[in-house]
Amino acid sequence: MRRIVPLVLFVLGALLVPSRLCARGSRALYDGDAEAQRELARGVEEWVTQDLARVSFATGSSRFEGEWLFGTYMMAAMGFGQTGDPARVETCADAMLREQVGAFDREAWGEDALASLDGPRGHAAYLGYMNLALAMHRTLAKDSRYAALSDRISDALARRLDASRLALLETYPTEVYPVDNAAVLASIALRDRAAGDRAHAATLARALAEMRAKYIEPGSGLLLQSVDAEVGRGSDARGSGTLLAVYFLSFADMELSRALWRAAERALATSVLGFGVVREYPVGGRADIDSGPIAFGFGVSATGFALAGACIHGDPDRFARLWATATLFGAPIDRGDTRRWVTGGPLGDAILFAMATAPRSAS
Amino acid sequence: VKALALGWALSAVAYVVLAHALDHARLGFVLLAGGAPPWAIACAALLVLLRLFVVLAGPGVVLAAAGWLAQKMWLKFTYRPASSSLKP
Repeated sequence: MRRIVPLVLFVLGALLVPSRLCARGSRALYDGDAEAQRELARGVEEWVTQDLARVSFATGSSRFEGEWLFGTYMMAAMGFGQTGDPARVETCADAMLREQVGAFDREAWGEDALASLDGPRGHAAYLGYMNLALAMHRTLAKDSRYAALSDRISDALARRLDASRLALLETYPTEVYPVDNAAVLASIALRDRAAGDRAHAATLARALAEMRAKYIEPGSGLLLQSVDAEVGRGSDARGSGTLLAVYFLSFADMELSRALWRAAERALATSVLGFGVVREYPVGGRADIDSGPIAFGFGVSATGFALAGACIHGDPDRFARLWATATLFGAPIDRGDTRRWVTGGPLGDAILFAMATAPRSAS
Repeated sequence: VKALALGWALSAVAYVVLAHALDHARLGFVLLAGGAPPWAIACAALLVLLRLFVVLAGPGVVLAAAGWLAQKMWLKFTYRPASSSLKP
């Protein structure tokens, strides 16, 4: 008896309390509390106002390091835009436009994406993500100094989409990723919304219809992770691509975003001891640069991106459970009114900031 | 219970020290990147393991320790030597 009481209390404490402790503060974020958002913003601000470079990331691949550097500024721009800070969006947009930050795309294509806007080649990720940040700035500042560039990029992307047999653009030569195209579509839609016109409505309607029809796996309803550029056949549908697309498509087609979110909830999302987790693959699968580390089938990227889906599509309980997981593995350090994630780094902090501040669907 | 509580407290201290050291060195995120030196990856993996133990076991340790202490106090206050109850 003397041993049973402490043992029972230990098990009860371990089962019931940690997820609730880790989820503290999630409701304020979910409700868009300005102070809770600013705490995350200040952590990201520390990253984007220092001199980040490709070597800051140590992925072992020059291209991935370039992508992560670029992605840090892009996700930070989205977070700052969603929390109404145009000055910091400018900081990030200026960084994205630096030659060094765009080098990964130039090296892959052998041409500068912005200098070749009249050409036919895709540059889907670089231009799509860039244009999202520029359009986000334009939604906050009507006289945005990026307006002309955003118009040119949007026109180029729309023209290339119209000319594409697959209704998709290549990220790199022969590499096609539907999630990057979701960013392209989101950027064009956000640009149209910010400009107050429907200049690319026809292109968007066609490309979104093609995405629904061809690039969503019929069985699971998840988005295909990649598509063969020659024959248009898709690979596995996965959590990281689907859930990042849920976020991007919320700017272009809320119904498609919701359909993907529901599919991901059904096929991939669950809870363990009150912690929300998301599988990278419906069954099996290996970790790669997109998924991040996978433990017991649950992916770091998929779980982090799912925060945006829960926020956008109004699921506070799932948001709290996912936030608990982010807090458990992210190892936050609060210094005064600033929160940083020890295991997040520049990109992880920026992604959590953007996902946790994603704007709620009006419906 | 005492050993568990001591182990947990030491882990918590080690976690806090390691977390601040890795944050200061900007090395905590190398588990996501994978191309870092092995020692940095090992430190980051240790940090995650310590955090899992500290956070997941912490509330259980606190409750178990409280229960153990309460039980001890209860037994102390209700204890009567057998001989005293036999006195006329």
